[in-house]
Amino acid sequence: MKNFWTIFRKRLFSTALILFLITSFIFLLLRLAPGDPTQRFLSPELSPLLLEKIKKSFLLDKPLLEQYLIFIKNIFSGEFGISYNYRIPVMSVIWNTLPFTLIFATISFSLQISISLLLVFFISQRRNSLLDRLLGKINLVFYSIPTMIVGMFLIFIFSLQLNLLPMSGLHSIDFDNASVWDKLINYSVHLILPLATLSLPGIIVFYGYLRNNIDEVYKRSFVLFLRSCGENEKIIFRKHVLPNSVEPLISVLGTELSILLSGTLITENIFGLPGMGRLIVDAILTRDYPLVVGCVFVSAILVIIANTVADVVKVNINKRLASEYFE
Amino acid sequence: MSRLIKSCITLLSVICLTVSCTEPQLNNHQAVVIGLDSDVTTLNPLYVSREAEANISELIYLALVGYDWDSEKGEVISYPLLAKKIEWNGDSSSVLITIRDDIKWSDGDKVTTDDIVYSFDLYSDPKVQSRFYGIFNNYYLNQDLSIDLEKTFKIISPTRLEIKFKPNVPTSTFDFDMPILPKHLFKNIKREELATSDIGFKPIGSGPYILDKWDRNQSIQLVKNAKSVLVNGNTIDKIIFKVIPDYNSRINQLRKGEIDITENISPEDMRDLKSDNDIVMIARRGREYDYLGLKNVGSEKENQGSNQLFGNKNIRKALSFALNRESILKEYLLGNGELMTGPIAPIFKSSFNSDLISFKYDLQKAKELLQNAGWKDNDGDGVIEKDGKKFEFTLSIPSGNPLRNYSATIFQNNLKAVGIDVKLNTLEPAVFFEKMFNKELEAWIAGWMVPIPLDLKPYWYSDTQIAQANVYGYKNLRVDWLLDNLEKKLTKSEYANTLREFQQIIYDEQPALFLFWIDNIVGYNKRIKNMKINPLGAVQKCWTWELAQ
Repeated sequence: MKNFWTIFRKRLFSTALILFLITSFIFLLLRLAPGDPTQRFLSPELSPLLLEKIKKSFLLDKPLLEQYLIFIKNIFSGEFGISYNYRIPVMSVIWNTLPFTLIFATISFSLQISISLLLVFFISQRRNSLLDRLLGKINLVFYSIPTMIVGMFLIFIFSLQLNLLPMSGLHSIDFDNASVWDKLINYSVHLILPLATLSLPGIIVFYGYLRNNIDEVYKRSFVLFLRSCGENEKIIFRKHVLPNSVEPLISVLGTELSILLSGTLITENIFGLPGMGRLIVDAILTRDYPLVVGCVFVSAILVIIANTVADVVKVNINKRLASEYFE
Repeated sequence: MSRLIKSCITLLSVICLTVSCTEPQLNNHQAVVIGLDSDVTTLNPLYVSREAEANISELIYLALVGYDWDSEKGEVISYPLLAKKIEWNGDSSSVLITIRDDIKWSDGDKVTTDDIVYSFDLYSDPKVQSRFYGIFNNYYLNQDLSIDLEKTFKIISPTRLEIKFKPNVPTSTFDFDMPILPKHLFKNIKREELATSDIGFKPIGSGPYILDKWDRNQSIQLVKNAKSVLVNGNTIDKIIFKVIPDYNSRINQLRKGEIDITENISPEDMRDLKSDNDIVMIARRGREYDYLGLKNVGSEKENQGSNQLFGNKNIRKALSFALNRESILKEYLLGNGELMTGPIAPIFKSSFNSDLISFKYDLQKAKELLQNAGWKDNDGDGVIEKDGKKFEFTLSIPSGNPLRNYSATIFQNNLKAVGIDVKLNTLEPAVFFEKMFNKELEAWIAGWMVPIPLDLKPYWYSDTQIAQANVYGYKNLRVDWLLDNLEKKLTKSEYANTLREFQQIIYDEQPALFLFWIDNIVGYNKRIKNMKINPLGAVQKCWTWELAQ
């Protein structure tokens, strides 16, 4: 924790600058891109006068520079304005989806790490076995299957054919009257298929990385030295090979966590889950400017936190890196 | 390690089995689940804009009248909801409304005529920016287009109200069919803040259902309002709107019985679902149509001698003959639609001009018309030209609409056969519609839904300040006169004749190339009884639905 805050403090200025630049860039990009947020009020059945009134209330009738200054003022007062679609403060809209995204991403991330590690443990005892070679070959095949196909396939098998798991939603519709335990089970069951869909590519990637790294580390001379000293093969693997293999993976893990925290649109869409991915894409498609900027801001913070955490873990694993961060 | 993996698999299987046994089966409950493609943004009747929002909000907030569809006559008929009696004066310039004295808001207060006047005040107030702002043309209005309350409304008693309209305007129940709002709650909110207030998320209405729970992006649950006079013992206890963004998931859940109703089913899926004994499939003959729009159609007079590509009505007719709409109707829509002759749907039996016959696919006729207009392939490159200008244009379509994508490809080939070079351009919907309304597209495929009551002026009137949907730039003084005439008081036959002439002119001039009326395919579980699916929609009058025992 001490390392986290030290690294975070060092990055505070650059973090604030990055956030400011990202939000300003998105603000300008949205205004310059084609599309009009009041388009949905332009309908033969609605009065053209209504459109003018709404444009005015969205401040879209003001010059771009004035809009930008108002936007900057709002940011510094911690507001992102009112969402055009939901007509409530942007942060309230985001707050409705953020807890789910955080929990979902964290569980999926933990699953990806733990299952890939378990697989590596399992295979490391059977190196060059048929299963090892098979996993090496199908690795790429699994990774290249689009998430959508994986999701549809899992739904087809487990929901439609076997009737074991629910197809969509975060929980059953009438679960309000259930006990806490039943609610927990209900949530868990609804998340099995989405988590499997989301985590499978990550597991494959992490497994592939780890497996290759382990091979590389085994080739190093210190392993030969340990073996010549008569060290137990299991201890060589657990105490020496694995820690050295995990280190290069940390940066990849940081990136994966950032992606998960920014939302997982396809999985959310297939399984009807209320996450940040769906929110941000809907906001972009309907040109809900304040909501897009708010989502980008929150996602950027999450990405920065994820990368900082990855750096802290790296420092803890490899103390030599500490000099880079703390000097 | 292998033991650990085996244990994990066993645990997972046990959880799956346990939960599949504990998963609630909605079929056993007094509830109907309706699949929605996206969450609604508000339930405040002042601001609801999408069909799903209006459907839900109308179950919570009652209007003075409701509507049914008379399929024999092909027209809408009204029935009283909040109103008990509606008495028009001789020339229909005023109406005396008596409301039911047994209807209460869900918080216990009585619904009075004061609520009605206040609702219309809000709907027409520019500060509120409601969806109905600027459309109260038959009322006495102030300069800012808000309703002149003093001139218009006379409250006789808490249950009797008189509404006076401007003279010589065609009045009907459509003038006062908006949902009625509770004054005692809305008056506490500043009018400028109504759009952002949380009254849209915690509605108090007078309808047959009340909001029980709104799980953002998951579901909206309505429960029967036991105090409502519209419900009885057979009324379904719960109407649940479940958000399922993915189309395939919606279809699968309908199959599995997790949802009871879903709309906009593809013709291909309809064919498959028909074999399911638990599902009833209905192709709702609709008022939605697709058309191929052309830029700067203008008027015949304006276009004489000009080089506007689509200015000549014979060119537009040639294009109509060249499009093989029948093949799309047969192969893509699988017959779930109808070829068009003009912008009035055949379902409006009293208004539809049945003498008109839709343009049949006829390449020879198309070529003749183009040749007569001077378009010939002189250089033998397969593309016709006139005065050195080649007949080529870009056809734009919005992304995410497979039917329009399919149609565009077919039309590109059809037009190539008569020597017209068409380039296809797919645009993101937000960009597409902005460009369409700004008249920046050369040709495009889009669609409209014919409004009820029939309102043609926004689409075909020459003045685009009034007709914002006249994106083709069509101008015809006779059409303008006819459309103006429709806003006057006419007898039934005068009204029908005016519409017949309008359709004849549009047919002759082809300001847009009318493609097909598209059926909205609805699938529902056969356990729902008394469900009426008609041009007004599938989710309507839910309080009359019942569940089979």
